[in-house]
Amino acid sequence: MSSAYDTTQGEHYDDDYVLVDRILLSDHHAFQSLYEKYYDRVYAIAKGILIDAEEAADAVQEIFTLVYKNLVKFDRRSKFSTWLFRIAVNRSIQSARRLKFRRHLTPYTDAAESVAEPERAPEEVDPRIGEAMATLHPNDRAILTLFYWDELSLQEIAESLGCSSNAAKTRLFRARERFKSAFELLGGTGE
Amino acid sequence: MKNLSPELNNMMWQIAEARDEAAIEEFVSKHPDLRGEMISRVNMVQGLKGSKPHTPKVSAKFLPSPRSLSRETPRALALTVVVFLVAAGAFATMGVLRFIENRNTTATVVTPEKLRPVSANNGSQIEQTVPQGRSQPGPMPDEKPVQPLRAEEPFQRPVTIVAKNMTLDMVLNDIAIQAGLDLQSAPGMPEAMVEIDFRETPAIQVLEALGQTFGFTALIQTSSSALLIPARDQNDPGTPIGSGSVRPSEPSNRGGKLTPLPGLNNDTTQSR
Repeated sequence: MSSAYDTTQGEHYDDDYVLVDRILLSDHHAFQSLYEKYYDRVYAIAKGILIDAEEAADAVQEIFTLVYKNLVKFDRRSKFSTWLFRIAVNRSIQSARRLKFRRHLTPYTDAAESVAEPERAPEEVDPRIGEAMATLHPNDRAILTLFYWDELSLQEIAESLGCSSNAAKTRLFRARERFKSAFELLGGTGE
Repeated sequence: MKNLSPELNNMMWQIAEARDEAAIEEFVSKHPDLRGEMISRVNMVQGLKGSKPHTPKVSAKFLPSPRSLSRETPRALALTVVVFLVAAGAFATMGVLRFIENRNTTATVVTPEKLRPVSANNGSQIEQTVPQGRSQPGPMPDEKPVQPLRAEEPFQRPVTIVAKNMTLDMVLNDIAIQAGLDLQSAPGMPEAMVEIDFRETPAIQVLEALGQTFGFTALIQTSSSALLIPARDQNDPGTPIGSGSVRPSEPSNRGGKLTPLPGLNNDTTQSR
């Protein structure tokens, strides 16, 4: 067995390591498998941070391209998904900063409408949830997205954000409080 | 929102996220005043979780993003900008140097307001005259431009030449060296032997005296160069030298004398 396969037997054994090794051996079908496996979750992260569906779809392509180009640098200290989500969060936050000016020019209500078009919004979802999310800082959106949409544990969130579990817990708490304030400002009491 | 203790606040979030009906009811029964807050949080968490986007159809195949693949573009653009800035800097520097050089060489270019020698008594004294009624400065068609001379110019630098049996060529060369002049001799300049005695006399006056004596004219080209042509204007009475005229046989401390000696004529052009 090659040394690449040996590393898969470590502490952080991950099924995805096998796919990663196949990709590194120029098996492009393996990358397609990873892409299909994680597309939804990466898209959720990008959408949660970027708000705009089209930008999120573009960001997903960028994220997977980065993963493809930098896979050789993946050191397997964490699960592949954690590494992928970390790239997704960082890339989406970067894109969000780039789009900040554009978003200032577009009232959120317009942006929300344009976002809602390409996908079917759940009927029971309060539109103020999205509006409140849009008022938050991309970092807050990132942690809320990882926690509520991707349903990662605090440990996984910590690894994805490159911080300790306690820091992730504190950041989640603050992001949630800010979201609550924004939601209540928009008249959402939930009652 | 009421001021909640951190523990109670945290517990409410945990209950809301767990969506355990029994836990919610128990909490509300214990804290009836927080019922609204609890329901609000439950709905908020439900809304957050429920707002997870419906993922659009995954592309059949992964297509590398051109945006990511073209990451080299900003680097190439930055390199281009740097090269452009360096080139612009070099161009600007050369321009400044050229400007400084031009300014030095054209320091005595005739200005719109012409400068004329005031009086024959003192060649270094000049007068600035502006023609009346002329809005556009510049020489009139029938006017002969006069080269401006200033006291600090090389032609006004005092030179001292005292010699006997010296060739005219050597005398001119000495004047050129002392005054820092570039004197070009046209073909036909006389090559006579000279006896000369000038002390602390402006170079232009010495040249004029030599010209009157040996039959050549110094045509000033720039502030520090002149062309010596072996001819004199017959109508030109000559510029007075120093305080009066030149007397070849009577040396003096100020002004001087010239004595032409037999010599040879040669048709060569020389530069000093």
